[in-house]
Amino acid sequence: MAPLIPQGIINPELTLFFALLLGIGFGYVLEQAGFSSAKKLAGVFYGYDFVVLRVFFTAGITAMTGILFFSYLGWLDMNFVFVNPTFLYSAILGGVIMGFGFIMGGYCPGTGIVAAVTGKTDAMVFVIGMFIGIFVFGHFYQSFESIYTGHFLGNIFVYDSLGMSRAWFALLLAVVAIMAFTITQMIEDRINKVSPEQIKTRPSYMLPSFLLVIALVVFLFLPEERRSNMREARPSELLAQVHDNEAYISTHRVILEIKNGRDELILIDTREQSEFERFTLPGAINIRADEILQRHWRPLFNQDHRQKVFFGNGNSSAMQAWFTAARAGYDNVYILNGGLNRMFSELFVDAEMPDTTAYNLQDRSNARFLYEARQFFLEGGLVDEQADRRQRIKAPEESEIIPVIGGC
Amino acid sequence: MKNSTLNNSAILFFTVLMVAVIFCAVTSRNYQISNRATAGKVMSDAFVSYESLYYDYLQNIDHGTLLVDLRQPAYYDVSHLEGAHNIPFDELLKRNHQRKLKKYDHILLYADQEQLSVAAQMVLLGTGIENVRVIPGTFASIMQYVVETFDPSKAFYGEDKARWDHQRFMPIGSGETKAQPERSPSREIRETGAVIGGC
Amino acid sequence: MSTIRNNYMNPYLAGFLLGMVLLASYMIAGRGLGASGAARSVVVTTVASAAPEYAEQSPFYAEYFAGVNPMGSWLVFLVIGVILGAFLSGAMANRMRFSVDRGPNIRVRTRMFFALGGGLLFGLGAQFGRGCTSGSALSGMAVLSTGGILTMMAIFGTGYLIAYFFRKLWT
Repeated sequence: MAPLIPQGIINPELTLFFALLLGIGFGYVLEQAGFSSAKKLAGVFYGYDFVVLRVFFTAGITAMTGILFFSYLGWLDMNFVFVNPTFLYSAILGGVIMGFGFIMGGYCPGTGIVAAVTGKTDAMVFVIGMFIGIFVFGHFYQSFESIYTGHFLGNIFVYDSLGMSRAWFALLLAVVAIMAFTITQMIEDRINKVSPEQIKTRPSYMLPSFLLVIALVVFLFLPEERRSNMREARPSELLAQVHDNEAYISTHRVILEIKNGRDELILIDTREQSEFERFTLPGAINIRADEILQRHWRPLFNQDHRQKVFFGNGNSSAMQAWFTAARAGYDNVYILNGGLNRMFSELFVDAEMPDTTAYNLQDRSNARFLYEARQFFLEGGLVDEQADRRQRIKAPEESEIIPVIGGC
Repeated sequence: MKNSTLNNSAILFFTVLMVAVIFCAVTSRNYQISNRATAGKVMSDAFVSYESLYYDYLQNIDHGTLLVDLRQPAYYDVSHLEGAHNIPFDELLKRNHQRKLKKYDHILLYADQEQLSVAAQMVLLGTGIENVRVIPGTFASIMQYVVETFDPSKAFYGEDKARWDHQRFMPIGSGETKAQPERSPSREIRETGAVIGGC
Repeated sequence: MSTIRNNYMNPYLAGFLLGMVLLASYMIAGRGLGASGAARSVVVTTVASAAPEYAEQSPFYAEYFAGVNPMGSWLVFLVIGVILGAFLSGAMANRMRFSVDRGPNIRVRTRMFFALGGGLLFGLGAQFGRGCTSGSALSGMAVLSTGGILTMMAIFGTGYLIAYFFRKLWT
């Protein structure tokens, strides 16, 4: 579902509006927390005011918990989330330089901007210094480039680097943060010489800390990924469908569709790619069972009015594909009963001249149908002709569409 | 005290997360393995070959292996593989059968249609019984090629092997190369898109 | 009790709200918050339009010439929002006044000098760290990125290591 903009749920043209909105929230909270004061910020290094540590870690851990749960629930797709890339030495060097900058300047960029807005002259100077620093980086970019782009380790996660599970690392981080909050509070009280009476009147943070730990402990017991969701079909339903032969479509129906050149079926070849390339039914596409759940096939399977027909040589690979698709909750999916093997044997091996003497009308018409189909397949070399027709349909469409887009 | 805002928002956030998790747990569909994992598993290791069946399982009966006959009891009573246990296909999810299946290290399935064994395998995989494999073919083909006399030429028999040669039936082989479909996902989607347009 | 002023928000509540803003940012745009990126866009745009010959030589300014307007980006609008939000909050809490924030034992000129130097270093470091405390450290922590957490540890580690030498500035 989320992230909403990269997934196209929110119009990308609104991106900047949301940026503005989130920025207002960001700036408001920073100012409210007292981050417009360099003295307060620098206090974290001298023990008289740990507000930076509190705000920073609380924010990080809250967001982390939310992201953990939302990604587990499938509400946030981590593939669309920007994970800061790790350039090993560049990250450390940058951090060290910023550490110096923090002590000397007393601000970081975000808080510097906030402080400058509220009228701190030194913050305005800090922001100007920041521009100069970026210009300096740009000026010497070529000499910095090797370290800036070197030792790229990918967009890696810290729990992978440490060889821990995500849940354990999150819990550990939360416990460390809560301990740090407690200890720094004690340090702060000692340095500021706060009397014990005043400490007693201070609110207790037991409840939020407790809830945080409980939430992360719950997360520890959740499996790595969700095993199923509510869109999926129950195993008993699938079993019943297979047992009652509801999953099949007959070879005759498919032959008829192909022969008449209609497009009511979506034919899906579930065999290996090499077999698909050697021969397949006209118009078929190749999706193996393990590829069915890929995101880009979703629009195909969501065309509910068209029947999706899986076929292989026999029934087995089609059954694997059908089962996967049906379990995922896709409707109107079928198996070509008997697969290509049966289709070919009916068309070319068993089909004979229509037996006009056959008593049963059904048998007679069946035989005639297959005989005609056979003639059609043999004479026309239908596979090729069909493919040519497809090409012809597609080509003008494409050339028509492009100028339309350009004209808009 | 000001702190109550923090407490209330923490409780709210916590409740939202927990309710969501509980909701998802309640609405989940009793699977032990995700659909994606199941599909990946059957692609890599779904079948046991007749060769392996003959040498590894039938020759020396291994007590960690359970042969499962998925046909109806009437057929099972007439004849079945030696040592096979009868679980009719539509009763796979019954609790007592599931309990029995969980006790074995390896489970081999056969039925009178190969795709039924495949479907049964996917059901069992989904419910968390992982070491399930399918004996390809039907009960009849197993009897014919393995049990009565082991036929080495059918060592890798399977219903899903091509039993036709399209060039015999569609003699215009030359045109085939030009119509060869490509497989890149983007193009496939466009191709189906063109199909829709053709309607 | 002169150093702790109570008209600021409870830090944990502020942290919680900031976490919610950050979470919302990830849910809406799939990316975190940041402040230094906008400054970079400003520098790139200013330099490249003022001295195009100079800028063309450096790959640092390549994005400007690639046809993308760096000023129209997510980060720039985020910072415009930060400015608005900070103004809103400061005005509501009646904290808007010109002043210089400094330690008790230094002169204004010293403070200005160090603010400029600190800003310069922060601007430089934020390029190497690919984001500042918010863009790299805070957002990196939310998604548990190795690089972000390394940068965070380096910032605070260095701060504590050298705090002693700069104590005159603040205490």
